[in-house]
Amino acid sequence: MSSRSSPRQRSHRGVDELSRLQRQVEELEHLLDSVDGIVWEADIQTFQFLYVSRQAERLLGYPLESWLAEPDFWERHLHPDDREWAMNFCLTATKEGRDHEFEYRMIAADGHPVWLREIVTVNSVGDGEPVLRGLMVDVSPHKEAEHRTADENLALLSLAKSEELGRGDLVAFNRLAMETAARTLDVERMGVWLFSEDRSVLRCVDLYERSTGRHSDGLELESASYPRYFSALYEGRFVSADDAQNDPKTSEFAESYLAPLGITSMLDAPLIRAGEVIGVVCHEHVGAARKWTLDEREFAASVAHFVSHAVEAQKRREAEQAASAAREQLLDQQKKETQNVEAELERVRDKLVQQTRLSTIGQVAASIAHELRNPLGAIGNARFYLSRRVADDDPKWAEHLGIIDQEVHTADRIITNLLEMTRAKEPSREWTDLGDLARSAFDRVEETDGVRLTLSTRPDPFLVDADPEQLRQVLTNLVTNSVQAMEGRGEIAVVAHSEGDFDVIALQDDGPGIDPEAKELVFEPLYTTKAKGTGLGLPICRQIVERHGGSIELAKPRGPGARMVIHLPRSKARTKEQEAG
Amino acid sequence: MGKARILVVDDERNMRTTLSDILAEEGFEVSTAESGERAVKICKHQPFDAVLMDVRMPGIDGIEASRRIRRIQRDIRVIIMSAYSVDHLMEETLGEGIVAFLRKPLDAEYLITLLGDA
Repeated sequence: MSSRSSPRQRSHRGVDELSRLQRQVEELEHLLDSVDGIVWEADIQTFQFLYVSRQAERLLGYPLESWLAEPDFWERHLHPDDREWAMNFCLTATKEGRDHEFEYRMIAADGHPVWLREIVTVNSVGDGEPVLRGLMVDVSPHKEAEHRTADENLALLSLAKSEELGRGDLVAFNRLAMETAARTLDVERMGVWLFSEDRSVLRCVDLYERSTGRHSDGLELESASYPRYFSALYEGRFVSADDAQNDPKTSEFAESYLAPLGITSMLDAPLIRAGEVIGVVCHEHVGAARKWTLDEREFAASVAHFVSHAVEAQKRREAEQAASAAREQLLDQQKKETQNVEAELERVRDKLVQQTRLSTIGQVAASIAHELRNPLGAIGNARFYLSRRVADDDPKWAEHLGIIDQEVHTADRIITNLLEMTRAKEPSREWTDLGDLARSAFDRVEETDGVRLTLSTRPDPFLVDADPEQLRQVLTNLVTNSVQAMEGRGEIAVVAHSEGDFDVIALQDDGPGIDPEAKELVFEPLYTTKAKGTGLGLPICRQIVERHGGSIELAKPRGPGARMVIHLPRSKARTKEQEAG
Repeated sequence: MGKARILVVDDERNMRTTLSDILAEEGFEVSTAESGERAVKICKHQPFDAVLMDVRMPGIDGIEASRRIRRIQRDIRVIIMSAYSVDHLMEETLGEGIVAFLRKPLDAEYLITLLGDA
């Protein structure tokens, strides 16, 4: 039918056809322009663009004319890092007539890199040379996400390998972790919060503000004020709120915390140690609300994991420090005890030396005593014999025989004292009235006519559990010393009372007293200041008192004179008896 | 009743002399021995009412000598005298018929009283 149409008709039809084609081209162009990518056609030899769709202008910011006019437009706007390999790749593929696909970067008009995915086909058009046709798709968001993931992984790696974590320094690690997380996730405020012992309070141990670069700590949140949030945490749940001020999980904080600080989105990852929630790492975003991605949540979980690890390391370190402190304390104590033992040993050694001296003297004394007592005995006997025969006739004879008798007795007493030292005789205790003992001791001492003995005991009578003979010897020696020191004139006061577990007996005279510097010397065997002393009286006293488990010392006198104080342990039986009485 | 017969045993001559003179003066019949062995020997031939015995002497000591003498003269009264403490001897010789332990130098007055009862 068309072959029969008139030329006019034909011409009319041609116009129609043309306009139809025109319309189709427009539609096609419109279609190409609306594709979310750049559709292009280029010379296979020079790579000069023959056609680019409008998207090119929008995507990279260069006018379409530049794309088409500049022969090496594509090469010139490749990212310098990608230029060489991308060109080579394309040239090779094109030479081989292969379709190809790759990703690379171009630099946009504003200077920023744009990631593109390029799908290129080699097309034959009629008999002429083939042309290249392709589609460039902007894959920048995808690439950025990939890079973010890589950044996050790097950040996590740096945390994992950090020295702070290694040495268990929780404070330093928290600072590092919060700074790293804030930077990596682009969050304004990051915080580490730990539960109190009973988990009723969350305490902030590190809060980092990215804009100021400041760290702080010490804020506290009570569970009673934020029940929903705490119960979510107790269960170890992740609290992710894109719209924190309205999200029911976090809206408890809206008025007091979120709104004043302009926090819009929150992401809180629980800290878990040995299966128990010990705290939380908080991400607080300021600015336009954001949607936390899965990647970001995973990153947050990883940071929380590291912080938990650091807390654990810290606890372990604290435990080790406590153990080490305890160990040191123990060592200290041992050292002190060793010192005590050494001091005690020293004391015992001194004592032994003194006792050895005493016993050596005693042994010598004992051997001398036998030799001496026989001649003394013979002298005594001879005197007795003579006294029977001549005393009545001549008073001078009698006087001199008396002198012999006295001196034999004196010599014998010296020997007795010396022998007393050698006898390690255990006290044979019985209840004895101290007053009686003191009086009988006083009576034994000679030349006491000008000396007054006063007794003052509480209670009265004052019963002591001691060997009466031995205690009397002690008192006799003390009274003898006092009488001699006072040269036969003065007062001796014996005072006794109970003090704790001890009976305290003090004997004070009003003689010239004893030089305080000789305090210990007076108890040394053979030390004497008296012309006639043996230097054994006080050492014997000390030996006896110590055998009773007590002590004797020269005390500071009350007023003039000398004061000796004896401490005797009081037996329990006696204490009861007195309480009953 | 005749004079009481006393044997004085001591290795010290002056002791023997002074004691025998004192006792003789008091009317006792006194013999002396300078050792334990000698005393035992004398006792085999001569009866005594009492023996005044030193402890430490060369040869057998006074305690051993006393035991041997008592085997010869069952009723003899033994008085021990010593320059040493006699406490332990008292315990050691319990039931051996020793009537007194005296420490040198002796109280002669007391000795005479003691022997007067012999």
